Amino acid sequence: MPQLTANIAAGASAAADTGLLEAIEASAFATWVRESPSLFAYTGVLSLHAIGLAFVVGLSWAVSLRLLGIAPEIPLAPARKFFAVMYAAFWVNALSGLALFAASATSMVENTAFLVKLGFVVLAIVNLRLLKRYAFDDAGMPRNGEPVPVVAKVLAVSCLVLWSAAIIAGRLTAYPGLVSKYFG
Amino acid sequence: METIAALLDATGLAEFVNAYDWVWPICEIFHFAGMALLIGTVGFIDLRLLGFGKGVPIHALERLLPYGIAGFVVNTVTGLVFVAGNPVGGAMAYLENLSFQLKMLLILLAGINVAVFYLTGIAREAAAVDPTGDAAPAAKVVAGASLVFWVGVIVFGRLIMYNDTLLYALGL
Repeated sequence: MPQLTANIAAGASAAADTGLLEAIEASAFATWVRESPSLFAYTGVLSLHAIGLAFVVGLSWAVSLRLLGIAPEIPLAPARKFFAVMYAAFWVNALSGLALFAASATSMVENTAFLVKLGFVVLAIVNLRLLKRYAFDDAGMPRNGEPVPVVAKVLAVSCLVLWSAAIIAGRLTAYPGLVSKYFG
Repeated sequence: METIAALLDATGLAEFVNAYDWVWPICEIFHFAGMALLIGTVGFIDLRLLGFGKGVPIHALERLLPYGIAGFVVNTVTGLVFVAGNPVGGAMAYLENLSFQLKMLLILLAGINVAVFYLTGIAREAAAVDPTGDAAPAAKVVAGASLVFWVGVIVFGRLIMYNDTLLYALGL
């Protein structure tokens, strides 16, 4: 009997989930994003998403290159301020991404590349925070002229790799047919 | 314009793009990565020139520039694949596209901006600024213009596929 109740509850919750996604997609905001001819609707949100990508990924890559020995004269302590720009760009993309998700919520949850991309974005952001802590924050930071610790170099490499993976999966989000053909 | 389109179509890239369905998305992936590399390095320098992140010496950031140039080269090559290899409507579909034209115009302006920066000595002066110091007003104008141009390049790049939305907004 408890098993039956659990089954019914799971079924009801699954149905409610699908209903929720449909409700999100049918909401006034999602409909505006998807269907309005305004430049600020779909195309504006999409542009913001690309601008945010360029700044969060680009600056992450730049500080990673610094830790890997490119431009070694860049002092780490003052360069820490640029993390504020990366985080701001990340939030631009979290919000614009949410709007793009709402516009086609039901198909997005079934898009494998999109789900993989979300995973890589989470990993890349955790990685970025660790990179900041181990290489740029006061406590563990190498002083001027000191070699970059191995942990910071490893985090710099994974920063390059994780954002690349997020870009690859993000772009493939637009090609679900191609993804199932080659990876299905 | 017809001549340029004919030349680009004659490259045979469209057949290549048509024959392998993965060519286009892979070029897009490189185009986005190249964009991030360009903005991450050039934007880094622009922000510092504008006075953000003082303590970082401007000359130290110049070592990042080759990576920004590499991003630009990657995007020129992949961009050429999109235009010359366009399977729908050929190169002309791009050359006639207002968003594409505005994007190219902004890239040209960004190029002139860089030339002004390096050829007029503004860059040399900026590189000599104290690590915690302020760049000259001229350098700040160049840096601000650079950010505006490159963000514009991204916006009109995204709009190429939604050119009708731009034309509608402009009443065209």
